[in-house]
Amino acid sequence: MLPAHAPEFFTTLRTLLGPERCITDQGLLLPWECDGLSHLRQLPIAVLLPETRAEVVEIVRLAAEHGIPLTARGAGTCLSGGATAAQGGALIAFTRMKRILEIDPVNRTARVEPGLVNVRLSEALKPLGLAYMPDPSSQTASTLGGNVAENSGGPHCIKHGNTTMSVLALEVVLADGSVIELGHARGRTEGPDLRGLFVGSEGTLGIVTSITFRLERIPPAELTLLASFADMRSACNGVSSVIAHGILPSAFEAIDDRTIAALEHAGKKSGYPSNAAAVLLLEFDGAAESVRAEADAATALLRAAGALRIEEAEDAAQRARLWKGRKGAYGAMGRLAPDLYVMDTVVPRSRLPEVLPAIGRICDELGLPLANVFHAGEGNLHPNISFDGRNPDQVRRVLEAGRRIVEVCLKAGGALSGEHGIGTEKREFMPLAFGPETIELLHGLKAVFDPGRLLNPDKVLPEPVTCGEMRPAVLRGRSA
Amino acid sequence: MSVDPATLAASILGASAVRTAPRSHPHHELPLVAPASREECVELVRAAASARIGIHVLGGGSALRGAPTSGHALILCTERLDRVLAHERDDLTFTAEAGLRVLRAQAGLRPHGQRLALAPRAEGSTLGGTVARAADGWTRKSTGFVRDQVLGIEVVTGAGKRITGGGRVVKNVSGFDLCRLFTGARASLGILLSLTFRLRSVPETRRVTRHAAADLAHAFSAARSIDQRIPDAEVLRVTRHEDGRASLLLSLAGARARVDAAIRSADDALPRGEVLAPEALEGTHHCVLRVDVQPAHTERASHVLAGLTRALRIDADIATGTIEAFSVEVQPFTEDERALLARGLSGLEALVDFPGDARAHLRREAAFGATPAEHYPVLQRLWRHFDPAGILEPGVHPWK
Amino acid sequence: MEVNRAPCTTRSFGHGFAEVDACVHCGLCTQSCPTYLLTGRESMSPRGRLWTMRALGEGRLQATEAVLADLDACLVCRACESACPSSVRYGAVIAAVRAGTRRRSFVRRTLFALLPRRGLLQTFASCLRLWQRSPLRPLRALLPPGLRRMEAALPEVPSAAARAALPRFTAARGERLGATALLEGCVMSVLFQDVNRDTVTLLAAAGFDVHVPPAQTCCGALHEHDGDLNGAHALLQRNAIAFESVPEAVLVMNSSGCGTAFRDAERSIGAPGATLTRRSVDVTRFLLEHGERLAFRPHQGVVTLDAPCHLHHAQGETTAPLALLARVPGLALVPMKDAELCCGSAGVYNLDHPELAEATLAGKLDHLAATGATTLLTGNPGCILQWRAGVRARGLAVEVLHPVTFLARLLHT
Repeated sequence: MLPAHAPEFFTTLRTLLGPERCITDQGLLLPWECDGLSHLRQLPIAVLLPETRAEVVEIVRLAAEHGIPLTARGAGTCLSGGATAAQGGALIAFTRMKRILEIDPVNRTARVEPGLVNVRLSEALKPLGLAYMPDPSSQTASTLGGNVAENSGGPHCIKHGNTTMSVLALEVVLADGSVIELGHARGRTEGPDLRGLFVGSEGTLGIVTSITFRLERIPPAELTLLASFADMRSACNGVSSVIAHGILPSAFEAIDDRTIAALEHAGKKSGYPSNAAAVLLLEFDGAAESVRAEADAATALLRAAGALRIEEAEDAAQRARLWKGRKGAYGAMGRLAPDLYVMDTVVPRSRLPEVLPAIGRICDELGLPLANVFHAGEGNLHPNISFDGRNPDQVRRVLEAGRRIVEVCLKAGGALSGEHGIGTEKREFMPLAFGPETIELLHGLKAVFDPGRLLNPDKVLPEPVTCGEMRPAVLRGRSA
Repeated sequence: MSVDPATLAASILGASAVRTAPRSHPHHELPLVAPASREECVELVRAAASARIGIHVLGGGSALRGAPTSGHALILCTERLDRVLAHERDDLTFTAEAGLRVLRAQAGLRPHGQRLALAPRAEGSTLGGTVARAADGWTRKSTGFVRDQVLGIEVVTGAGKRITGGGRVVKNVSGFDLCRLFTGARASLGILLSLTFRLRSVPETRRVTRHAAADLAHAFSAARSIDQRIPDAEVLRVTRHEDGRASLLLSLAGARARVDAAIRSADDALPRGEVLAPEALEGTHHCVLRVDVQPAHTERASHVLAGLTRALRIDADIATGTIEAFSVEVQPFTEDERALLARGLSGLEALVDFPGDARAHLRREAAFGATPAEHYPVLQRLWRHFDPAGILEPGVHPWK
Repeated sequence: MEVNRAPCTTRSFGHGFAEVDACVHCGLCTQSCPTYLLTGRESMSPRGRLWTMRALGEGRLQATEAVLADLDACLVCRACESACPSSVRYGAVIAAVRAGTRRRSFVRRTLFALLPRRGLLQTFASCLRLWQRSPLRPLRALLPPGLRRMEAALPEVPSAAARAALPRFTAARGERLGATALLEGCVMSVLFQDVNRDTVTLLAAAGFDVHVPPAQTCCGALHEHDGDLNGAHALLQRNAIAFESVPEAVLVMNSSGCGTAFRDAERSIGAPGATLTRRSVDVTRFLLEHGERLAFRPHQGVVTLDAPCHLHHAQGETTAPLALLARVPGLALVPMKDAELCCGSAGVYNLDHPELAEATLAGKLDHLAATGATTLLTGNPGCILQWRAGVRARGLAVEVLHPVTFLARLLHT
């Protein structure tokens, strides 16, 4: 059955895409009602699965003609609601548009379609001795188009940067259906960096149909250290000390005792010491001598900060296991309670030793279990709060905690998000981080590219009517 | 009733803040105004917007551009906006006003073992100017583009709105990335007031050497071999000197053990080189031509530049595909020279810039990689949004 | 934005359904799912199916034809369980939901009723063999499409002699190290009795007595797969009793589907199943750990290994087959890309969803061709049939064998 409004939109698309790629059945739409932020939901009126740029252009043109909002979606692993449909809107899902268009080993670039899963690119590059560096924890599932939309980070972004640093060029379909190429494979272009503006704009300015990435050579050497501490404060001091000495690991992660317990509980053998209150996972990459020198210097500083034990992964298998625990930590928390809220905030690295306990106090006061697993080297926190969405009081307390944590981090000189984006989750917090003139300007910027408010509307920016004033977040619980 | 730009500026900033522009400025007939604070700067822009007075921004003056104006304009000089606002040593972040000179900032950071990953082209290059024109230099190979160094910005738009982008932390994806939008925008959308940068630590040791080569082709082949052996070399630059000689400049930086190992590896592949002072990296010659191509085209494009008859020193970076030509004479390139370049570079998708020629960018050769015409509508809408009165940097971009 | 689901009455899906709560909707499972990789549709992914099933349980979703079709399209390969950071037991959830929703055809119910009845099954096999060799076979074009597919998918049924029952007892050769017991299986006993015989040969050569208790029956895996939980559980009960007759024997499993049913028996039927869960082990693992006495001749030609889903994902046995094959001197074993992805056989899936099964297999065949192997080894009867059909259709010169057969051929005697 086709939705009642804009029947032409659907009949045309159904002819264009076929029924398999134009989903309108209510029952089949249900699993598309949210992304990784599962407590904020909106059933799309349709899901469209294009396979070519021409089909994307046609979909955008038709949507513009009929006034149907469109939200681009990759694998739907977004944690801020960015890939959830707008009210009365359709999803355009890129899960079938996943080809590697070109790999240029000489210039070290790759051009891909947006639905390609992050790790698939790495797999294809490996035999060529090349690597695509950004590695969000969702990399085995999340798409590169989604990574571009959210400007995703990941453990190795401390050295190699968030996604935007690896993006050389984008092919974009604008709201009117026109196609432009932003950036260039050579890296430099003239004028304002529109490529940079589009990366991280969460699909609100245009829809990406191909991406040219800058690649790196696979580093000749890698070295992984695991340092355990008796308390999180010493671990944070260790982080600050290593960073302050100008050592730049390729990854610098912190994992607390609650997370280690969750991993064990989920039956995952992480290899993390179960008696430590905090562990730091450090990796170094580069030439063998550099890696050794940096690791030795970091080891001395971590010992001085009070590390109980520091061990070095002996082989690739052990390194992979240490990482498996880190990358699966979030999912493993599913065993603690039916629902999980993965927050994402940033503080200056030197403020970690005071901010983390403050977050702990907020959750204690509200009676919420908190686990921390985060990108310590960048001050990028991920407070994980377990709760039961069927309990309205717990949901209220989770919301309260979220708001207070954001306030604490901003007060310490931090930022709203380091890698998950704003989406629907944090849009009402934007006025806490930016003044009214900036917010107004951002609204205008959105209108420059999308005057009809059809591309992923109601994301990133707070509702214009309430601009400058805080409203309670629309977060409510998911029942299970 | 139109207001005289100098009178307007004097009424806001006082008469002492207004003077005449240096002869070298393409619009030296205009009054030059130097606000003493960011607040004054915002006030000046607001007043100029309502009086529809054009503004050209002057930082260090190393990359001037502009089209002829009606004369109803002023030059806004950022020289007095040179305060350091924050240096978070333990976080490796640095916030300063836009008019601070890069070399002065570096000098202040050096005692802390820290540095900005910027490579100023001239003695006077400012933080704001370096970002506004995205002046990627020799640091690009090891630490990336200028656009990847900026963590936060404070801007006054052409409408006189004081806005912020990013923040003061090293990782931030909150809202649209205004930091990158303003990188390379050459003050066409707004004027940078202050900026926050990520810092790097000064390497434990650095060794810069120059190795003579028989000719350009041999220098390139040596560079490629070093690139294979020492992928983490800090700089790998092929030079064609004014007298036709060629050489390879190699900078190795990092932990002592690593640099020692890299030196051994380089010694196996290269004739012994002359050791240079690290300052050799900071070229302060006058760059008259800059060409950017994909790395694989660096050698071909370098030969095209070498084919020009005037005496140029040509520096080519095979890792980034950037080729710069330096000259003592600042004569604009002739029609014939431009035609030769256009022919030679065609098919290489090069981006060509003539920093020594204030008006060269207004003539668009297809081969020179300027902003494609299909971007103009978007850029013009963007410009109207940030600068509705159209006062900022008239003529700085072909689409303006 | 619509949010919040008020607590609502949960439809009573049985045992195992509560596991659905452990899913945090992270989506890390999606790339392990063959049907999602082919269609890109959320309702065809493990996360999407869990979401659908949760909604069915909450009563906020109607079990329409379309909804059930995408649930039925699940191969239950359980590769998502390997990928899941929360270790959600997806197989348990979908079995519970299928039990509550699946409509089963008459043909299907008849066929499944036949499986545990050895005598009838053998008679049916004899009839099939007659039919396959009869001049009337071209008449199959007249069959209804479902039956026609089923008929076409069947391999040639071996002769009655080849299908003869195994001896109830085979003594260890040489010094006796212990006792084992073998499940002959339903499909195995009809189509792969040779694999059963080779298993006996290897076990005896390794120094183990082999018991084949007569009271044993079909393991019930296919029934469970199909949502007939009661039927499946009854068969497990019977087997638990049957194997009590040889209490000291290790149950060596040479079909990974049956092996999984036994390994999960305690979870499925509680305490009575504990003996099956504890005592069963895959033949490759057993021979790896206890087959020191076996010596193999070298093999000419390139070999590759495909991991049956039920062995790799459901049982988590990811290393033993490789390690055991490494005992063959100088064996040229080439890894196959995506070897841990389902081949599309998935029980009788290839009969219900021929297009999806074929598309899944097509990708696998590309990877097989890329290895240049002349022998493909896989330890599950359904997978062997699926691969053989694919290899034949593609015209590849590859022999598809059970690892046991391969090793028995190379055994030094």
